[in-house]
Amino acid sequence: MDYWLHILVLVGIYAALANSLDLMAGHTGLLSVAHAAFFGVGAYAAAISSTYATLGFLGSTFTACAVVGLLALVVGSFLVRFLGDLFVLVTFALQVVVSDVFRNWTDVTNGAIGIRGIPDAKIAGWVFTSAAAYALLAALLALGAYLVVNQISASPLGRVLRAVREDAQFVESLGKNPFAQRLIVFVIGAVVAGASGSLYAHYVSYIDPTSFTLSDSILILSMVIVGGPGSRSGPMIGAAVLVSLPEILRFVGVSGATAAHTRHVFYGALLVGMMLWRPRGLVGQFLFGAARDD
Amino acid sequence: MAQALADGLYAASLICLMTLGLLPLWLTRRVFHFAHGAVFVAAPYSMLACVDRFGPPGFVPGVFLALFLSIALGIAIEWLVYRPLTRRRAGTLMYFIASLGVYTMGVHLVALIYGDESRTVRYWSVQESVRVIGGVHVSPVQMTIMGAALLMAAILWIVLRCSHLGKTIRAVSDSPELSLIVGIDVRKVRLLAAALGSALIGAAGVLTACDVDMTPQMGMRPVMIGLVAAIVGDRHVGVALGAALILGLSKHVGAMWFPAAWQETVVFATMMAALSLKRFGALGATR
Repeated sequence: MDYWLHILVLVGIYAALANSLDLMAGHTGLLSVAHAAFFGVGAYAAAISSTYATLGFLGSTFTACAVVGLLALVVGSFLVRFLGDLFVLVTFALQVVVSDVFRNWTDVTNGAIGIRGIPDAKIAGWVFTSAAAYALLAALLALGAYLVVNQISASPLGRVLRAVREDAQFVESLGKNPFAQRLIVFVIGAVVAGASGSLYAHYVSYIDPTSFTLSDSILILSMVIVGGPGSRSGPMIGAAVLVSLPEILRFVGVSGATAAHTRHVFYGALLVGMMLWRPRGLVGQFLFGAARDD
Repeated sequence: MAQALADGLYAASLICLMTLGLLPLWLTRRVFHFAHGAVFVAAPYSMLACVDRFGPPGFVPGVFLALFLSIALGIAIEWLVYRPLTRRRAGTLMYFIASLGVYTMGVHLVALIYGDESRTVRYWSVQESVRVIGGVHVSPVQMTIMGAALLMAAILWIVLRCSHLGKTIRAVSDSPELSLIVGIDVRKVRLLAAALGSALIGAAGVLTACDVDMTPQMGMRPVMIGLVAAIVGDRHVGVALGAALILGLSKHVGAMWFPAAWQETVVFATMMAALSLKRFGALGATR
């Protein structure tokens, strides 16, 4: 039973990550492969606040969000000026640089050794230790992310975002500022990722740079793609599918490092397959990155 | 300083090779050919298979196998993945995602077979004589590598500038529709470009493996760096090479001011600068 709760926690965390990436990518057309970087920054910020500054869960999550938000604001105001394809490349560079920082800034992050002994989440005297407790937190996080994304999507801002996604120049001609819209979305998406990082850090109680690499960014992207970019429930479905399917591999007897690599071969094949046969994703309507008749 | 320059030039020669390998691919399709990171990795590992099986005599056949495999993989990727996507009128982001999928698949397949630890095909003694020329330490192996890289790069440059294939590649890069109208077989050109580019990328992988240990992850950064140089240069091959040179130098010249661990960060920061130049106009702004 605990095992399924564990899966639920992961699904919750990754659903939040997928939703926040979808806000950037599916709704606004900002395809980012740096999401795991923000996830990681949030995790490290929370871990440091919790372990060394002994802040409670809410305090460290707030710190994580603040740090990630500031980073996203500063970096984003430069990155978001790149359009479509070039944007992907610069987020690549961002992810690599952040990964390097995790590994090399040993004074703060402990480098490859990582941070261990992160205390369990504490909220107003309540200590969360069991898987069920974390599952509850994860569900709340996922719900929160879902609400944020869908409220934005349904709002006038959401309409502008979709317009920016389709034709930024036109939007500009209507008097809106695509840059500002993109930056807002970039920061919000990053902050949600940072919050997820905080929950993750408290749940697993040990983090190191290997959890926040480019491969992890690609994994989160896969969840968005598989589920359906720009759709309401797509990212959550994608997260559920991609988190739970490999566990089935475990039951088939594949284990250890082989399992991890087999999983990634599968993810890769899934990405190629989805692009070839169902680019909209399982439930999506938006034909992601479809060629336009310009 | 001279040492840093020498090291930088060595690094740059390999980046130039990567850049020239990625250029035909970029020009004919304008897709981020991340998939070729898998080609870069598969090449030296196939060499490893030969050396594992036959010992040191397997080295030379291994090189041929690696090149053959690279070309085969490049053609397969173009035929089985990119071409169907073109039929479906896919957007560039869709190509990119598919490309990423191919990379992931390829790299982890290699890791499944050979494991994550670093392996080597260098059966010669690594402690080999290091010469000192003009106060700079160079290793004969590295010099051979650099020579080979520059030779292949020069050949490709000549092909791109002077040959018929080069001309058709540039035509397709300017406008696939117009090329079709004037009778160029765009599909064939893309296949040939894939073969040509993959051969060079595979060669870059092989050469890199002659200098350092291999791991399944070794392809990502060279591809990224080469790709940025190719994109920045676009049709102007000289600019692409210049970018490759600067990126190569940045790695080692940067090491003069930053601790060694930050070398890659310096390179990527330089990359961002290069991309900014492209985006914001010094080399002809794109929107």
